[in-house]
Amino acid sequence: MTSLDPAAPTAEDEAVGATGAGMLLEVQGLEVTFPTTRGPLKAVDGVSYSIAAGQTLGVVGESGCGKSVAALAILGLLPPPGAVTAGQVLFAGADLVRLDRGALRRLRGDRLAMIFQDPLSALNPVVPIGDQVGETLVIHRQVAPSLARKEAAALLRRVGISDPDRRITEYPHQLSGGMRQRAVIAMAVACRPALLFADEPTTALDVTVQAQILDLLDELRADTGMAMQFISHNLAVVSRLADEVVVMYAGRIVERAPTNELFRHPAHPYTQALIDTVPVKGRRPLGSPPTKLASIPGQVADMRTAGPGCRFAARCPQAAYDCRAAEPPLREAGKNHWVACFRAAT
Amino acid sequence: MNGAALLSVEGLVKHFPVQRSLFRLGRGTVVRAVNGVSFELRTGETLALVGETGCGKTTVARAVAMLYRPTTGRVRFRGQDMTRLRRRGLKAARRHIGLIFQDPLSSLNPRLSVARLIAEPLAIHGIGSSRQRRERAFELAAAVGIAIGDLDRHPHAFSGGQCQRIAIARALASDPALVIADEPVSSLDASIQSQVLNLLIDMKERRGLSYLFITHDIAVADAIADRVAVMYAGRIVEFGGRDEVFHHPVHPYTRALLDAVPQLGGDRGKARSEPTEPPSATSSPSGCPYHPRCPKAQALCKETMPDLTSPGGGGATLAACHFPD
Repeated sequence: MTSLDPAAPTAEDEAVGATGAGMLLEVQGLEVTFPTTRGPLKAVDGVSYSIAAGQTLGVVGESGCGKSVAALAILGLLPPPGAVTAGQVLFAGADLVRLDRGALRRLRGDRLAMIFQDPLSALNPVVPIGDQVGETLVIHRQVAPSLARKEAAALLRRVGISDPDRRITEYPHQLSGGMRQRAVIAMAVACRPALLFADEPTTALDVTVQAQILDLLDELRADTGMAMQFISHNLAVVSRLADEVVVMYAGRIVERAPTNELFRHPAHPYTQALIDTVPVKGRRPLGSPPTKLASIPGQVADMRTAGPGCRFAARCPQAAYDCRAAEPPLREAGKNHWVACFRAAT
Repeated sequence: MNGAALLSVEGLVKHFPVQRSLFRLGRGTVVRAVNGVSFELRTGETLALVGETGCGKTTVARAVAMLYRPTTGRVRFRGQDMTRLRRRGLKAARRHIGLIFQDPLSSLNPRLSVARLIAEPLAIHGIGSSRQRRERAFELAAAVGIAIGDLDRHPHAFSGGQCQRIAIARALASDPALVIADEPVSSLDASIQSQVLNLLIDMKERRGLSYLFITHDIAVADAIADRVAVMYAGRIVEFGGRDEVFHHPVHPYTRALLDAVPQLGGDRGKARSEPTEPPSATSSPSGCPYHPRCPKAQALCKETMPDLTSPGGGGATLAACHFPD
């Protein structure tokens, strides 16, 4: 394998399973650029990772870190004028970045599926639920519409919607938020995808409903053996589903590790700060008055004007001269644990 | 629950008539947003009102500030019954209430400079000269961490976290006794959330404020609250000190809510969630509104609505449940 990004160090290539054995999805040196009036903005800047069949990869980061844009780029759904400016995405032997629109469309909804944050905007308000869920089968499997509707009822039952025979005739506005997201999930898994992209699928839902949807996704993954890329700003939600977690900051991957390892031994100062700063129930001791939380000073730097070094350096308590001079490469901090930081212990 | 009550809400009810729809289907139905809520907020405390979408927490907050007129019930604030006040009396009372909303950008007028935005409540209440108001804006901006040099800029030039700082400065301008904060950190990123929560804690300590803090986020409430009221379907189902409610809940709904909160790290493959649907605001079941979802529900729960009382008597926690833990 050759790296398309000349700046990407070799360690990074190894970090992301560049050996390629058994990897379902391999993202290599992905770079996504949006032209803006104040110069090009690299929303995703040299991101490499891979997902094995049946594995759930969690991607966490704050607004604007590039986690959603990277997924949209992989699916060929980037909103113009955004464009992939470097890198490749290998899936089932093909480079998705170079695939023509028709071939990509045949993959999407079939082998590659996706669900987003807002189920209402993912559903057509004037088409019955059953037809929408069955549509995937009509398009990708050439199933007759009448049969597809029957299959849709079975799919709705599978995702935990009661009375599916009645529900297939209903419209999205007649369903609760949790049920709509279940219907979208039914649509996504209709063709038994090999890989499901879930971008903040529970962010718009209440916690009790969120717990149900997370359980459902994990159950479907276990049953069908599909892999999942689960994107969220919420560390706790990601930790509930993911086998492995990638932490992104300002368009780059700063850390990648198996889930338990990441939360027990976070190596990157940003990951550490993020874990310390997130309000967690029970962190404040019993009997103590409200006391201040740990916090990360400052805010994310403008990626267009950022210097050559680590993007987190300006907010980092451990930053030194070298951090501002050069971008730290991803290097091994433990077994399957990779961190992009000069200061992190390895 | 007596002594220094800054705010006392008694039997608050707020029903919204549903607009007649295009096909007149919704005629005559009512959204029962709040169904008899009573609580007291003591001077100097932070009371968190928690619950899920549609439980009525925001309606309670708005009714306290008289942004909605309650259908029935009383809201006593600093000894006055707010529901009896009209125009001038209400305006005078509102000087002592600061409001902070979820989306800072939409709660700040985009055409006003930050200095004007912060000083506007003072101008509305006719406090000080324009020069004094500007000085006060400087002082407040410094207190919330906005650079004085940025005061002549407009809201769009600031990030979400900074806008929320500006909104906080504005809420504090008229030196209120009570601050009502409705999901003040929910639209902010994790690293900015804790900055803004810290600012709120800091302001409360320095200015002796009291907070009515509305949030759906249990972890945020756990960090900031002295006492907690858990709402479900327009009612308070559990009320008590933060330690008791969040660490020894007695109402089955509180327990389910706490169990659903994902924890950081290590709870992969956690216990199964309850496969039930949230309540509808237009048609509530008979008896306890939680009974269709409740694992402990019995015949009594389907018939009689439980009162908010102290389980076992004597305890500080109140719960509206026939069979509390």
